[in-house]
Amino acid sequence: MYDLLFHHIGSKILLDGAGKEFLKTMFIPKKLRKKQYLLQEGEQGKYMAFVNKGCLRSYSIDEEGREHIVQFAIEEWWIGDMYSFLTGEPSDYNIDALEDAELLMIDRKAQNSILEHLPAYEKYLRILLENNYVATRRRLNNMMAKTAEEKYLDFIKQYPHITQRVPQHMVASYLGITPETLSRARKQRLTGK
Amino acid sequence: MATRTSIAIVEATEEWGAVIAGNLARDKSHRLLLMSTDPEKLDALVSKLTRYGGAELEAISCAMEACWEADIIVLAVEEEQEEMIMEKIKQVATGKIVISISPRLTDGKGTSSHVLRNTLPFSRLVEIGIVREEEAVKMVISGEDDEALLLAKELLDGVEPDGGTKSTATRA
Repeated sequence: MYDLLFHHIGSKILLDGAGKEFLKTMFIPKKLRKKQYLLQEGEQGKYMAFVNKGCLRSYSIDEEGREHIVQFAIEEWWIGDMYSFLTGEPSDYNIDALEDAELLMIDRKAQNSILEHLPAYEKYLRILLENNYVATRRRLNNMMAKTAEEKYLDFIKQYPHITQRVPQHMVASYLGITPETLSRARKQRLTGK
Repeated sequence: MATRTSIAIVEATEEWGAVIAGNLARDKSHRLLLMSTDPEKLDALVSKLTRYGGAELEAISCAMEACWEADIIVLAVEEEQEEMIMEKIKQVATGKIVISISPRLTDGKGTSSHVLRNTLPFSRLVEIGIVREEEAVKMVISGEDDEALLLAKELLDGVEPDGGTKSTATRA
């Protein structure tokens, strides 16, 4: 149950047996079925979730009922509303499972306990935040400066595993383009025009 | 809109499991994972509770699967099965509120406390002792986790078997 988590943490910091045993007591194992919510808009995002198995998405819904996907998460990824997690304010996002999922969840209190008992965990969190900043900055640039086809090519290059697991209309939502535009971009890529 | 709280009731077809399930089934904010090793009784229970049109109901035969999906776990297990069930679920009960109901108590004190605490040391434990005093039945709720105690009290609000209960929350 904890192998992927320990592999992920262990790839960034030194994690010994005692550290692993301690971490096991801090994470809450949770199974979600496809289409079940982890978080709904208006709730406090009490947990950050490490994905052991499955695929989830984080999205907002505008006034006209359109979904805007901000993130996907597959195995060894983290998902949650960090802003709500840190501030305690209601979330603007929904998080649900696109496939049956197995998660390891952590709340603020447990995270603080880990930081106290495993100081090296702070380095792990720093690396996650750095990677998140770089990915967010790259995405911002893509959204502003690239064509639909370029956005799509970048996406499939960077996240090939996700492309195969989520419906095309959701990929379109994530890229900020319509499904029709995405379809044209895919066709252009295939035909080379 | 709030996400439904998933509540596993282990051995939901036992006396107290069914009482708790009946109380919780009226509330649409819940998703009940009803676990029993008796499939016929479980089907009958689900049929009965479906009529309330409240909580989302799911019948599950495996205690571990039910508790893995759950946010809150209610154990309504016979004494002789307790330790076995707790061993099965302990890995997926970490960090979760576990409410254990002990109907065999006469003094309101947790005779199975040490088993509970030893087997589920990282769960947020609440014990409910059923005290029978002459013709009245009293539920005594105890535990060290304030939030878990409060939640248990809320979940049990309205439970009135055998002519009436009073519930009191105490800190162990």
